[in-house]
Amino acid sequence: MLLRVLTRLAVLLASLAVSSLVVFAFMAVLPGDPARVALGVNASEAAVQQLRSDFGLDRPLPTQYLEWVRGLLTLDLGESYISRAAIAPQVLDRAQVTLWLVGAGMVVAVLVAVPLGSLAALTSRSPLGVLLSAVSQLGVAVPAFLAGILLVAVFAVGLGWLPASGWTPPAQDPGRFLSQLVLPASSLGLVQGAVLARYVRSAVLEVLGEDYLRTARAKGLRPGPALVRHGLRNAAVPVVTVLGLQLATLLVGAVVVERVFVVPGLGSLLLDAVANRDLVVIQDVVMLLVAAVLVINFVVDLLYLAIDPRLRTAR
Amino acid sequence: MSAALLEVEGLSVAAEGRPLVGDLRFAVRSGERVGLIGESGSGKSVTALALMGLLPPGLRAGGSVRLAGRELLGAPEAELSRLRGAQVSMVFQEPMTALNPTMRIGPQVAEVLQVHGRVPDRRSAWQAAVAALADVGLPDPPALARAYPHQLSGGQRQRVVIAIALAGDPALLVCDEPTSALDVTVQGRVLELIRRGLAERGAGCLFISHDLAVVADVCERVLVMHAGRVVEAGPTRRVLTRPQHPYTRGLLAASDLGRTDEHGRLLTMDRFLAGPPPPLTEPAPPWQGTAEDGWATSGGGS
Amino acid sequence: MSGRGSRRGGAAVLVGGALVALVVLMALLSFLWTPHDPTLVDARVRLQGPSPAYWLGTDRFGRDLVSQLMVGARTTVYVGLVAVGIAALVGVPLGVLAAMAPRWLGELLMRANDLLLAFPALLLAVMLAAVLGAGTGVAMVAIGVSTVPSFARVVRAGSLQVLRSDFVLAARAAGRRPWGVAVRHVLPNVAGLVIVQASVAFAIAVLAEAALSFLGFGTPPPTPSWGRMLQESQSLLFTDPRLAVVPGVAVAAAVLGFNLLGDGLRDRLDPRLEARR
Repeated sequence: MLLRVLTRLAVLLASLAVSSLVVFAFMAVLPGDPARVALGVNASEAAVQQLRSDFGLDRPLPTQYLEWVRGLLTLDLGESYISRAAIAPQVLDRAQVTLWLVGAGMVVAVLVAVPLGSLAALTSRSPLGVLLSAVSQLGVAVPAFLAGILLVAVFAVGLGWLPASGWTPPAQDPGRFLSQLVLPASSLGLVQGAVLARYVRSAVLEVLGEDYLRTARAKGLRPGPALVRHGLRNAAVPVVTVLGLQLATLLVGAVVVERVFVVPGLGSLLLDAVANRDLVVIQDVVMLLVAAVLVINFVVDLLYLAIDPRLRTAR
Repeated sequence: MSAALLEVEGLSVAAEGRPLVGDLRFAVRSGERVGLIGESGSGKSVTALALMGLLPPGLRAGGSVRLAGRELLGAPEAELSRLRGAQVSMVFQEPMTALNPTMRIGPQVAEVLQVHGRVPDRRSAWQAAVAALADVGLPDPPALARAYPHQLSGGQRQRVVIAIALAGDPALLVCDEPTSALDVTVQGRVLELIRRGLAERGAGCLFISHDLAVVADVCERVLVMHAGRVVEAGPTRRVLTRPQHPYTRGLLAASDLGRTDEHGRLLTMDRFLAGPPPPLTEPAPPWQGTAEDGWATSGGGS
Repeated sequence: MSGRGSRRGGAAVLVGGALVALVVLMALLSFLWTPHDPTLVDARVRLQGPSPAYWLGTDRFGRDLVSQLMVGARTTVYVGLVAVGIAALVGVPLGVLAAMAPRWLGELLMRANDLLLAFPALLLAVMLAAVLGAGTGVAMVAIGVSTVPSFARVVRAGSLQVLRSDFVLAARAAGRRPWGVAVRHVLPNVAGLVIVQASVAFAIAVLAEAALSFLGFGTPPPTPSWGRMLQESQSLLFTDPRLAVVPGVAVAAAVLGFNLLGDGLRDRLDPRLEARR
């Protein structure tokens, strides 16, 4: 058990190291001088040289890389080439917003997927089951930003129930915060919920055929309670994997959805940085998102151990 | 003759129009152990599941199954759920998969008591579960109740399955090949356990097996099933010593592993059968239980 | 039951294939003919509703929606083909190699493959676009590279299965070299899996392309693309939601088509497998 956790931890650390190299190499090795890119083609050679020495871009690449990694580990993300403002406070501020969005999206996805998928499995031989499958198939085909646009068209423009865009920190005005969170979180969550529902359905279908579920029925449990008490936990193992991978998808989906709803999260920060050619910010935010994905996958692996006791003794 | 506990009349099971079991007819009295033997694929397990009302989706049962006079086929799910685990229980063939891998043993045993409201609270449910585990001869029941299924051996798991089946004090126990997946060394002890559990409760038993030795050991009467039909029935000793039907003779010969024919070849089933079995869509062959054998159901009159 | 399964797979292949064919035909037809010039700005016909002249109406520059949709389909199919091609060309050999290589090397390759999963198309596109500038090529490479892991995984699993089969053991016993085994036995037997995966990957590519051009990392204007049609529609959502619905339906129909086709083909290949991914 402990050995397994340590092995996974080692893999995580190695993956983080390799991916930081990849991100750094991407920005450093690709054609184009970051200082030149930041200042634009019309900048004087002197100004470019000044920027290079100010930000240590004239040092050897390995030194630059190690400096950058040291900064990441101490949460000192450096300064923007453009605004010369410290990046770390900005990133932390934006990350909170994105976390709210992704967390709420996940909740919506699970709330949609588990009942929908279970019902589709229980009714898989009836017209209702076929209909539910068709609905989730359709949901899979809609990208999150399109769902966002459509939700705005219906609930903000058509019915006028909810604001179409904007963001208020929860501490400032909880009511407003919630009303502005509903649509972006739903556009992320509904689509992911449709994807997840298909996995829930096939996981539940598989569990329904298991002997221990028959044992549960033979004890006198009715089909619904038997599934809830004995089936869902076992069905959770494959579903949690997908959930973990989806969390990564949600994180990236949030980048696009933030743009639709004008939410000041990491995605907006990243896209603005691209528009401004602010390479340090791009490098930091991309690394942060990649690290988040890797850590999520690590946590998913640990969750397996918690859900399925058989894995704890294996290996 | 006491009233029948389980009366099966004209039971048939079909998968999407294709018959698997046809026109089954037998009875089990309280305290009686009846064997159902046949090769794999002869419809034994499907029969057991039909009695429990637990046929997998796609399979349909017809005819009549009465437990203590109550019709089970077509009864609402709520009523069946009240009977399962309390009036009729089942021991499954495969102890490796019959238990929920993500749940500790104790709660799985306690559940059957809680579902039927036999225990007032969780604590007494736990105590009852530990007692049930002790009852089936498992070592250190309190510790075992906290274990997960994968930490137990196959024989231990089957004891747990039996503990679950007996915990609700059922009037009828359906055993589907309960020892087939176990080591020969454990089989005898598990059979003894089942026999004792039945005797203590005065419960009836339908015991399904392909193993004639096991059936001879446990059952007073036996039905021989072939291709979805009962081809012979009677007291165990009579059927196994003076078999009437060629299929039964074949089963007996096949179970006698060393026996060879006049040319020194091992015997195979087809030597004993004139031809392929009649399809289930045709009317049943002339054999029916006779009063003399104690096989007539209430419908047949005795 | 198997008959039922293959019938269901058949329906999925039929509906999916029809949607895919529709998108491809629209793209092909756009080379020969469109109702109007999709990039022609005409202030006199701004924001018109559907009419005989403009079947789905016009946008705020007076450009015909049907024509934009058709040329946009071309962009979608083009980006999808190249991206899926990149993914298959890298992912299939990677998967076969990971299956046939010594255990440690196979594990290492799959770890590297898993690592690639942490770089979704959008992040790759952002990094590429930051250095090279946005464009069709950036979108294709980003989507292609990010789809490699799914090919490698599926092909590795399939290859391992083939390598365990008797005919491969026989070929090896007969002295065939690993390369020969890979080409003669493994590749033909995983070809079906690759086709299914290609269809599913195409759906993902359509989604990613739409998202990238929505954000402005895809094909640059004035070449029409569905993603940018959606982006342009957003500011007019309050006045004319039709502008969002038209390209939105196109994206959803294309994705649905490729997904259904992939699922249906999977059921055809192996009726025992439930639709799961």
